[in-house]
Amino acid sequence: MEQWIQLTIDGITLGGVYAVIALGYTLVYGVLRMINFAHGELFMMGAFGGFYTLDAFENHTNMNDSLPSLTIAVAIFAGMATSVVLAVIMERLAYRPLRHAPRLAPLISAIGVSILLRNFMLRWTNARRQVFPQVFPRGSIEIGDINVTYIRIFLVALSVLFMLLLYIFIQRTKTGTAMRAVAEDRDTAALMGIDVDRTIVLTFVSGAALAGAAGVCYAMYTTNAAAGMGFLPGIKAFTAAVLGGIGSVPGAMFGGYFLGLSESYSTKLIGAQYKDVVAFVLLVLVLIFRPWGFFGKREDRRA
Amino acid sequence: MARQRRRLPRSLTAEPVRERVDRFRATTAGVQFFRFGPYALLPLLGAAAAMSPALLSTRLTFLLILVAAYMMMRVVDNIYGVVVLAIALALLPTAMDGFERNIMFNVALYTLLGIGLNVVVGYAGLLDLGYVAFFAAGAYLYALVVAPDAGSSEWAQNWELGITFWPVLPLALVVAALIGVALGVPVLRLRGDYLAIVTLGFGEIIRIMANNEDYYTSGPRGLFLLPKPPFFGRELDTAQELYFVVLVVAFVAVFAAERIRDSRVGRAWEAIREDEDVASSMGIDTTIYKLLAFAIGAAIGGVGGVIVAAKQGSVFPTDFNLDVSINVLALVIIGGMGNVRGILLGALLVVGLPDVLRDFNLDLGFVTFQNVGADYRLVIFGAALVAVMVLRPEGLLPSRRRAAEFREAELLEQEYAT
Repeated sequence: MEQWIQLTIDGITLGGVYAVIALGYTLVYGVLRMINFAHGELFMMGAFGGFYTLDAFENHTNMNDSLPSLTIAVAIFAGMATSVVLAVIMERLAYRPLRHAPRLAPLISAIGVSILLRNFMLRWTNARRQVFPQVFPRGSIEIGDINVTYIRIFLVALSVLFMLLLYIFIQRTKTGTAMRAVAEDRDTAALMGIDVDRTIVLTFVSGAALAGAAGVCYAMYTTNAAAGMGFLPGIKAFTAAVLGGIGSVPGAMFGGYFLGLSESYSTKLIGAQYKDVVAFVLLVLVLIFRPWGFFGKREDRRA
Repeated sequence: MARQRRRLPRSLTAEPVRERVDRFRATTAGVQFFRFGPYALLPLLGAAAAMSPALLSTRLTFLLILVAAYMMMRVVDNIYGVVVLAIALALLPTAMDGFERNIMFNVALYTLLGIGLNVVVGYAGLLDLGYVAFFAAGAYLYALVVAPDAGSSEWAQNWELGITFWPVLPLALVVAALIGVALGVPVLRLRGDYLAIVTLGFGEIIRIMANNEDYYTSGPRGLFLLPKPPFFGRELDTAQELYFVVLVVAFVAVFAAERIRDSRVGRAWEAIREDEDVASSMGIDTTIYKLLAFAIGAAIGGVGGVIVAAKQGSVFPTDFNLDVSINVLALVIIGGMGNVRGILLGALLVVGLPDVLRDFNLDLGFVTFQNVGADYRLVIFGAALVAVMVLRPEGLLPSRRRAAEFREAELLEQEYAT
């Protein structure tokens, strides 16, 4: 029993990360009907942004010891900033010129961006994992035999907070309304006086900010950052987005937790070495039997 | 927010040069030039190859060959051109050293894989990111049925089939085609980006399975000490000999692929690629034709796998990571979708060039990139994929049909948008 509870906690932690990344896929898909293949790389670049910030604090000040909460906050913001800047550049250079091109073109362009970023960081770091300075307080809460580390609690809380913020942003603000309008019908939105280009950039920005923050937190959780770290979480978050119904914000959150839990339980039921296969199998099953996901709107034509 | 700068359409600014070329092409001399001019490059090609050890650095030779090959392929699209190209390709490695022969082997191998993937992506318009699955299937098939005494898995030692290289080729064709159909069935309903990511998943699943399985694949330890192909009492064991094997297989594949493309099947693929719904309402059984594309593409990939397993003499799960699929896709797209000459050019650029530039250092003054070809090849691919999509989405040497599709879609959308 304890083991199952532990697995559930693992699953929720991981699921929160997937959910936050999945939101980025869903947002971009919503407005552009395009899967941003490079989104996992934004997550990775965010982690590196946070890493270099924390590393600088570690080497030049003693603030990591005296004021860890501040340095962690700064690192998370740095990670978000890195991802946001990259997302804006990539949208401008690689996606915007292809907005009216055949569907295959932006997809391949996105794959190109993803390969470019991943391999650039691979060379930059000489293919070595970068170990995060130990800033986050170690230790854990113990309830009976169950052990929950502080960083897990932080991760879960932060992912929920980000999701709420995003939800409010999309539902309550004027910009969020514009995003939903563009997602609904780009041409009509333009006729209503919405600056479509600006809205699309903002969509990329909000997705990237979430991915960057998730990257820093996830890397703190695993204590290291590596160039390849975005690939699997990226694919899995995509799976999560599809599970929930791509284009749907609550769907992405649900999908993230669903996937995190399935993966976590599968380590016990099937074996840890097949953990990564679970996401792919789920993805294939969902796409075959319910391609519009659990929360998505049913459309006659998908992709 | 700054308004987007209004630019003249590319076709307008590019017109004068293109017009002048077209006018020249229309004259009698122009016709002659474009028909026979490329053959004039042949002596250059031969001379470059022959003199390479003496006069030029080997790297320069390769670049020269590349340029010559590109210029030839640009204009030659008849059967004589293909024959000449075949002879040139067959003679090339005789003037090369071991390192370059290995490069040529890889170029030829990836051309073969590119022809296979092109059937799926270029002809049928199905974006497959898990092509490595079939490549792996072929390689493991070879490793399992040739069954050496040492270095093989439990299964292989239990059965000891002891089949040699040549019968495995048709076997791989069939087995890989069946796997292609098996993986194709569940994804029949998917389109575009969904198809891409699911096939990517299949590729990864196959690799993870090969890594975790022990009885058949002996996991990460891999299968090794595999025999080379026998050939009239001796073994084909040099890169050059195996290069000829790939070359022959590749030419058969090209011939078959082009014949199929020009047949009823090819036209059905074309229709599906341009609009699946219209195709099916015109009475084309999209299920059968899509599966056929998967099967044929997979079969060619499987044969490629057999050859590479035989050349390496070993098979490890790490040989089949995503990079293989990406490389093949990159060469098909950069070279030009739907066109065999484009694929050859793509293979030279994507597989050959980085190896040739392996120890090339790029000094920009403030920063130096070392070993550009070896270390930065994938970085450059990434940038190249984006650049090709933005600047020339139909690839460097597209088939005319494919280019028209890309341009037409763009124009229609622009018209529609304004």
